[in-house]
This record gives sequence, C-alpha cells and structure tokens, in this order.
Amino acid sequence: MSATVVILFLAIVILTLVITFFAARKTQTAGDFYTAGGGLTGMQNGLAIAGDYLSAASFLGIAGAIALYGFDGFFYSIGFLIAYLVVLFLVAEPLRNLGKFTLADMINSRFDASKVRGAAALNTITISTFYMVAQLVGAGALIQLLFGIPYWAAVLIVGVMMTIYVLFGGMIATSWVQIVKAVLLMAGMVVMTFLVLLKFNFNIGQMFTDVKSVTAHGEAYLMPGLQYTEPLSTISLMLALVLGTAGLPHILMRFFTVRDAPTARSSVVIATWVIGIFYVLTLFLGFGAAAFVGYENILAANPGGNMAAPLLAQVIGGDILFAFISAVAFATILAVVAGLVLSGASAFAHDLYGQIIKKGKATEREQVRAARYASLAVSVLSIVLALFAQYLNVAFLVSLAFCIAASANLPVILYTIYWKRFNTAGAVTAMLTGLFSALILVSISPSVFSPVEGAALFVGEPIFPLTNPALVSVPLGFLGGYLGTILSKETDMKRYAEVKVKANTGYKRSGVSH
Amino acid sequence: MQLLKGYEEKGREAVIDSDRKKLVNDLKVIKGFLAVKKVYTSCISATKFSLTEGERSENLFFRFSRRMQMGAEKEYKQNPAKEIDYVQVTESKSFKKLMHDRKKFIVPLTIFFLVFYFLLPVLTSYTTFLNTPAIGDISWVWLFALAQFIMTWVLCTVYVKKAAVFDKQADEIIKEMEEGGEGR
Repeated sequence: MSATVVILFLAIVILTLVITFFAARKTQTAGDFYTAGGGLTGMQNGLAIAGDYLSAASFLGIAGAIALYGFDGFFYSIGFLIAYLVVLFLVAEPLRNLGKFTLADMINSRFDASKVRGAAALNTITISTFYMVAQLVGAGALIQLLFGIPYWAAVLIVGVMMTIYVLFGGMIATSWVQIVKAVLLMAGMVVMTFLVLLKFNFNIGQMFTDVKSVTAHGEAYLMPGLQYTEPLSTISLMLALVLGTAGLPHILMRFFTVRDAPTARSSVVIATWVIGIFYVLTLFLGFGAAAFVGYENILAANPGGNMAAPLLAQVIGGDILFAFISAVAFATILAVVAGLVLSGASAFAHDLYGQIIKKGKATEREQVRAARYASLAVSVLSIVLALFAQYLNVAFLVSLAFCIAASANLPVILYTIYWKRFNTAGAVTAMLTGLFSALILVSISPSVFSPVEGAALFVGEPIFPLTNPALVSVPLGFLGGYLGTILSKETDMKRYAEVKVKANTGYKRSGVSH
Repeated sequence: MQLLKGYEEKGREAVIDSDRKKLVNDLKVIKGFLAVKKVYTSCISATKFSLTEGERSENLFFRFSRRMQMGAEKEYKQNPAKEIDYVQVTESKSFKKLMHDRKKFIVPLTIFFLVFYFLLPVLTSYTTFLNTPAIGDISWVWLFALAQFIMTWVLCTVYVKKAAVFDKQADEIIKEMEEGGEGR
C-alpha cells in the first residue's frame, strides 16, 4: 500500500466525516433524517441518485466483465440505464406526489392498512438486505485487494463509516456523500477514458480492431454470446434489470428528498444523463483493460475481473491514478451502502415502529431516536451477515435483489397508481406472491444448485432452469395482485379518485409554502 | 406567538387547500395584528407607563387582541377540513383531458422503449445477423447497443418537454378545484 493510496483514502474519510458533522447539526426532525427535509434541488438529487445507484458492481464489475467477455459485459449497462425510463415514465412523479418517507407511505396513501404497510416493509428489508450483503461482500473483497488488508477489517471499515454517516447525518449526510462520490467517480471515468483514447490515437474504429486480437476469444470477443448462452436466462436477467430499478427502495426513497414532482422529474433526467455517460465510458475502460492490462493479468488478479479498472489505471496513469481510482472505488462503496442502511432503517423505524406499533403517534423526538437505533441495528446486522457471507457470489445477490424488486414492488406500485379496482387484499397478495415466488424459484435455480461441485451453493440438479427467475416471478407478482383483488369484493372508488387526482396533479403540495 | 406556531403546524398538516387558504388569511390578519400590538406595547413601555395585570385586562386593546385570538382559534376548531369531492374532480372535463393526454403519450412510448430494449437480447440470443460488420470492425450489435443509449436520452428530453404541458394542465385543475372548494 503506497503513501499516495493512504493519503487519498484518508482524504475521503475526512471529507465524508466533515460532511456528516455539518449534516448532523441540521438533522433535527424525522423529515430531516429520512428525506433531508425534502429540500434538495433537481441537480443535487440527480447526482445523488447516480451516486446511490452506481455501485462498485457497476464501476469495477462491468468494466471487468467487458474486459473479459466483450459485448456480453455490456448487457448489464443497457439494462441498468433503460430502467430509468421506467422510473421516469411510470413511477417517479406519482411516487413523489403520494409518498412521504417510504414506499409503504405511498402505497398506504390508498389503503391505510397495517398489513399492507407490513408487507411493504418486509419487501424493503428483504431487498435491502440482499443488496447490502452483496455490496459489503464485494467491498470487503475489493478493499482487501486494493489495500492489502484482511477481509474482516475491510468490511469493518466500510461498516463503521456507513454507520457514522447514517446514524449522525441521516439523509443529508448520505445525500452529500453520494453527490461527492458521483462527481469523483465521473471525474475518474473521464480521465481514464481520455488516457485510453489517447493510447488508441482517438480512433474508435482502431480500438475495436485492436481488441479483436488481444483476448483469448479472438473475433468472438466483439460478438454477443460469450457469457450468456441461454436465451431465456438472458432475457429473464434483462427483465429483472429493466424493471427492478423502479422497485428498489433505496432509489425510490431518493424521490422524497425533493420538493415536488417536477423536481423529481428533473432529478431523474440528470441521473439518466450521468448514468448513461458513465456506462458508455465503462466500455472504454473495459476495452482499455483488455488491450493494455491483458486478459491473463485481469483474470489472475481476480477471477471476476473486478481489478480490471484499477489495474488499467496503474498501466496508463501510474501509481497516482491507481491510488485515485482505488479511493474512488472506496467512496463508491461507502455512498451505496449508506443509502441502503437508510432505506432498511426507514422500513424498521418509520413503517414497523412508527406507523404500525405506534400508529403514527410517535413524537418527533421518538421518531428520530427510533430511526437512529434502527440504522445502528441494520448496520450491525449487515456487517455480521457480510462477515459470514465472504464466499457468496456477489453478482448473483445483486441480480436477485433486482429480481425481487421487480417482482414484489413494481406490480403493487403500478397497480396503486393506475388500477381503479385494486384493493387491500390485492396489494398484500401482489407483494407476497412477488417476494416468495422470486425467493423460492431462485432457491431451486442453477444459481443455488449446480451438478458441478463448487459452482453454486449446493450440489444437485436445479429444478428450475433460469438463473434469474424474473421472467416467471414478475408475471406472478402481477397475477397475484390481480387475483387477490378480484377475489375480494372490497373496493374504494372515492379513495382512488383522491389518489388519482393527487398523483396526477401533485395537489397536496401546492398553496402554502412551508 | 404560541398561537402562530400552532397555526403553522396546522398549516403543514392541512391537506385540503380551501382550508389552507383560510389558514393563510387568518395568519396574515393575526401576524399584522400582532405587529401592531408589538408597536403599541413598546410605545407604552417607552413612556414608562406600565400597566398592572388588572389594568391590562381592562385595557380595550388587549381585550380586543385576546378576543381576536380566541375567535380565530374557535373558528378553526369549528370548521374542520372541508372535503373536496375528488370523484367530481376526476369526472371534470379538464381532468379527463389530462388523463387522456397522459395516456396517449405515455402508453405508446413505454411499449416502444420496452420492445426496442428486448429486441436486443432476443436478436442476439436467437439470430446472428447483428454480428455482421457495419463500420470497419464495429458490428451492428454495437450500433444497436449505442442506439439504446441514444433512445434513452431522446425519450428523456421528449418526456420533459411534454411534462411541462401536463404541469400547466394540472395547475389549471388545481385552480378549478380551489375555486370550486370555496363555493361549498
């Protein structure tokens, strides 16, 4: 570990702690804690969404996957980006108009039922846990590689940092850590891309011609089919990616940090530009790594290709760029896990404790205290889980989180906003069918059972053929909600009229400024 | 001042706009009144003309001020939030038009981008014709992938343009609702 790495690493730690210090002084109410008081601008929230979304899996994982598998590595990028059209067209504005702190608030704007809120909280906790464990395990492995410290120490460092941000600074600190990270990450990407293009003399055609001959795959490197060979599994994964984002609690929560629907809209647009440019640039990083680091070296450093980007930085920019990119990767991890802690804590403290147990009658102080306890509990729990899950396949956990989000959350969100007949029973069945079908199908899939020893969790023939069950579990989520609704007679047209008016006009939020 | 605070809290909770409007009016009156009272009190203290508690209760100005505060509070309590008939709003012409316009815009474009998106994995999984070269060594599959990015940015821009129109329509509807709310 060089001195430059240590200095940059400490610089990020100090910068984020300063942010947390100022944020802590501003965090007085539950609204401050969960949504930064709703006072972020479109630009700020757009960058924070990008910072929340672009995980180490995107930065290091996708660059590595492109370096190793060429076109197939790019599939994730496309799915992750187009998902924002689903968010923008169908979800963001109604969500902002109807919700307060959490996804459950938005669904409950129509139902006012503890069981609906409970189911929504269960989904949030499940999704955030899978996502969180994936991030922490990835972070641990990565920091272990970057800085040469043991896995448990790496997980503890990240864990303690995220706990401090959320515990003291709530959403304000989390947002600013995410904004700073997004700026640093984009700066790092642009510098790397520039250096890679410089090496190719700014000739993109030349770049394609060159990478054809540098990998073990030869011409096939530029064609699809190196990583994803099962057509239905590929399509199922793509479905989970494109629909999952609109159901991820930590992303949806970001829409409550802005004043109104137009600001929510402009933040999605900013985020879409930033995220889109980011994924275009991962292509240059991947190709650059394949050409200048070499296929064998990338594989030797890490079988998943996670070290492709840092190694590329070393080759094209020397120790300083390597240190900078490592520090950026560290900041990337911190920003994502902080957002996850917050969304998990909101489900526990706001939905389960504040609304179900206390029936919405908790005082402001009780709410903030509950939120802090919950953040601490969620952090400790996920650190412990991550310490035990060191050898789990991270990419699988992330795609599973997307799959649950798409199957369990998206149907109920869309039905709540757009379906007149939808009712309490339908909401509960939609959420539970989506959640359990995704979990059960994945537990009997090739991701868990493989005939080859060591390839998956258990040895055996998988009963269900798709590695990602979204192709079946998403329709099941929608079907569950439909059947649950029509089998129950209950329906409340008056309430839906109110929800419809508010969702489409942003009514409640006009008039008095506060 | 306590009263003002209470009002501000109520304002924050008030969901119905006609109710809000009334609150704002009340607040304006009270705020203005309290400002006058402050000047009056400071005038009294400037002349070192102090009032005992008994005189204070006799003083017309203070009595008036107390009655006004109580009156405002009482009125607030007696007029709980007026219900807006949302069903009626959803059946209004302007709201129906907004819903129709939104649907006409969002549904076809959503279908379009989903089809365009899934075309990529479907074509790469079941056919190979995207693997033919387009520009030099860059094959069609890369251009198709790039087109996905461009489509996303274009649709974002189109959506923002269109949403500005919807915002105006929504503002009109809210105006109608508030005017309608006053009459009830």
